[in-house]
Amino acid sequence: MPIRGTSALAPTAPARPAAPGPAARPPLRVVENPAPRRLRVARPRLAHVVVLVAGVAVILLGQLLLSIAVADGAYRVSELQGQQKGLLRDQAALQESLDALSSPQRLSTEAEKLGMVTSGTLPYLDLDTGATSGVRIGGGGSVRGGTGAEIGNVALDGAPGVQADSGSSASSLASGWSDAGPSVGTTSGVAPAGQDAPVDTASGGSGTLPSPVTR
Amino acid sequence: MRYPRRTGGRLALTVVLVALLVAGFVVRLVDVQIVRAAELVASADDTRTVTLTTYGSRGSIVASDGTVLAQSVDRFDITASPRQVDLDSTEVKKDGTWTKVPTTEAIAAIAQITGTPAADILTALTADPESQFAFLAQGVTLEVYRKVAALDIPWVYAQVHPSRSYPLGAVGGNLVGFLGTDGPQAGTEANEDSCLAATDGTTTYESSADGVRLPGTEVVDTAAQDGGTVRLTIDTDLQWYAQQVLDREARKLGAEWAVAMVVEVKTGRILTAADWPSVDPNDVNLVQDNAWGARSFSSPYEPGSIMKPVTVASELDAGVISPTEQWSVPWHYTNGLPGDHYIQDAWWHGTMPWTTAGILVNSSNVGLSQISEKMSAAERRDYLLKFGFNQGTEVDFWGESSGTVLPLDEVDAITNRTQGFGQGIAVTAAQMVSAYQTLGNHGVRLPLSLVDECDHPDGSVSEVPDREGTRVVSADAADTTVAMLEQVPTVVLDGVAIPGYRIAAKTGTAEVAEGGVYTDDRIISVAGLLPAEDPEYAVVVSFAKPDTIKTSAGAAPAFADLTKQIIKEFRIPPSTGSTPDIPLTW
Repeated sequence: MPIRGTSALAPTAPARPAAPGPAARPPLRVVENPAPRRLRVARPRLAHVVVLVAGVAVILLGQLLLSIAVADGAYRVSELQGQQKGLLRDQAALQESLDALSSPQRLSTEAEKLGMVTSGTLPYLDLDTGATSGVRIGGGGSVRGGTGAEIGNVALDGAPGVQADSGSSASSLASGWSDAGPSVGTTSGVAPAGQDAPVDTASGGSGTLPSPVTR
Repeated sequence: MRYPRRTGGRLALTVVLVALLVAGFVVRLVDVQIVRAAELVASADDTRTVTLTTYGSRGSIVASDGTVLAQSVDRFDITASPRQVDLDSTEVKKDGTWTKVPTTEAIAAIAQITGTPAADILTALTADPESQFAFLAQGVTLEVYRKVAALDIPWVYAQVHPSRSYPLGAVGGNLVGFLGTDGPQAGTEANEDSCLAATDGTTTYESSADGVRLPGTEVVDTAAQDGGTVRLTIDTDLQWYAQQVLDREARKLGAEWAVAMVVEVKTGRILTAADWPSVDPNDVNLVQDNAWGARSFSSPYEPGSIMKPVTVASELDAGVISPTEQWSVPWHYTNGLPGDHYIQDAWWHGTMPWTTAGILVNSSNVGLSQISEKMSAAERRDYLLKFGFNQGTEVDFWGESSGTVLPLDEVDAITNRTQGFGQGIAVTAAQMVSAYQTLGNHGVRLPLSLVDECDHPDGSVSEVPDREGTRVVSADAADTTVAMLEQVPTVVLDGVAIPGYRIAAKTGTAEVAEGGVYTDDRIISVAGLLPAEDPEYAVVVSFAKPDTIKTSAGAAPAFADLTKQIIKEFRIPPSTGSTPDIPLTW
């Protein structure tokens, strides 16, 4: 019996001829003859099973790979989040030291170290009339008035340029043990307190001011 | 269908066994899925689920130009697990390989980086050898933490310790305030806590054995809310300069404390409220605890003669005196005073033919007493209250005092006159500068403000101050009073005049009462307005209990330096017009 059509018909087709009155016949004859037919019928079934099992295997494997990928992504996310946290901390620490370094206390101290003095009042030029007005008074000298008076800032403790010995350098951070000993490597007074600051070895010992180079 | 008997028996047995097995599974299934479901789910969640408190960070306090005055920073506590410590040797990672070093060397390395004495570290490690936790150093910076972490000592741990940093140190320290271990302790930190405070949130997630969050399991139960940013009206450069000048002058004068305030006349914004001694919020213990607040708001004092312009302006407004009214002013005065009480001027003089302006410029107490007699005590008190005395300013600063204007039934004949020249009345520098702002703003008093706004992370803005003014005296009364004060720097007070600029100023030397008795201690002040033709800035400088100079001349250099700095910093062009010529004598 030729098999046509869909696979859904396959299992039921061979069952029909065997159905009418099998009990009246001797069982041996029945077994021999239909056997090749049944084999012919079973062949497509095997292909179906193979396809089915392979399909399931592929789906399972796909799912496995997918979840591996997702889990791997989670580790990557976790790692990047850790990195981000570290970088944010760096940024905050650098900003903090920048804020302290731009405080009026340090700016005035550094300005006076460079030999700067306070300014006087300003003369004005009227662009309409060309007349000048105002008298230049005051100016010169230190804001501290020679009394050594100073508005304190604990935030500047250890900041470069303010304390003579900043005692730390960017290089000593990276290598841990090798620089942890009493002999700290080349320090730069200009480098900010944060760890990622570039070390300006050209500027010499600690406490050196960042003086401009005339070209 | 018939089967052999044995086959039938086997089949029945199999069916029964399968049925039993299925029944067993069903019972178990019901038990797991229904009966004990809640309990099992909870215990599973316990093992896998991690609930994390997420911390919002406390908002910053910034100056008007955005300069950070206070901010939240991460500090780190270096901790250790003493139970893991082998006191003989420790295996550390040195140059990429694990090496055994003596534990003393590891301790020495930590000590050198953190600054904690090695002996203290050893004590911490040995105090309870079975403990899992001990502090080695607290609140260290990121730099120190990274160095310690780089040592790779297995028993050393660290935890984040949220902290507060004040990058400008003592500049504005009295205004910014500080945080204690239990929260805000003073200043704006305490005043604006509702804006600054962060709200903690919680997040739950399921975690793998090594602590990684399982994808898709994170649930934010409550989002953490960062605190808002408080923007002060303070100008940090001027604030620093004022503190620097106070520091210099207060040391010279041997003063106990000093305050200086600068207010924008046309807005009521406080540009500077300097205190000396200045507290550094990074380490408040560097000054005595009575300097932790802002004396400009919290310390009332008898202002002395800087109060006189307020009296004159009030009476001009009431129409009971005129600027050129003629007075005969002796130096010693007993008129209407009970018993042997008298009022006298600070220096001897004959009976002077002064005008109202002459009395104010020469700062005659007797003349002011005569002027005061023109107005009832009740009316004067009303004017004082309208000027803002006897009540806290709109700033409502932490620990602010409302000063004292005595109730009418406590005002005797003497106080009735002395109030006019600033004795028998207690004011804060903030109230005093507000009164000068009123005079400078043509008689309209604006609410003082220290906070411009609070910017919340969601973009909303709150704490915007009310800048609606109230008229206290007529524009004419205020302007006339300021015009009189213009003659003070040119006629009586040396060292305050600035060539090219018109400055109104008034000095004050107040006697300090202690235990109800006036002592020989003084509070010396100069208050003023510039430029006088249309005032922009009101300035008050006071030094308490100076030793070397006990007259108001001692406060003049600080006032002069501050006004010069204002002219420079705010680029005030030279004044136009000339000082009004109000006759001082008749």
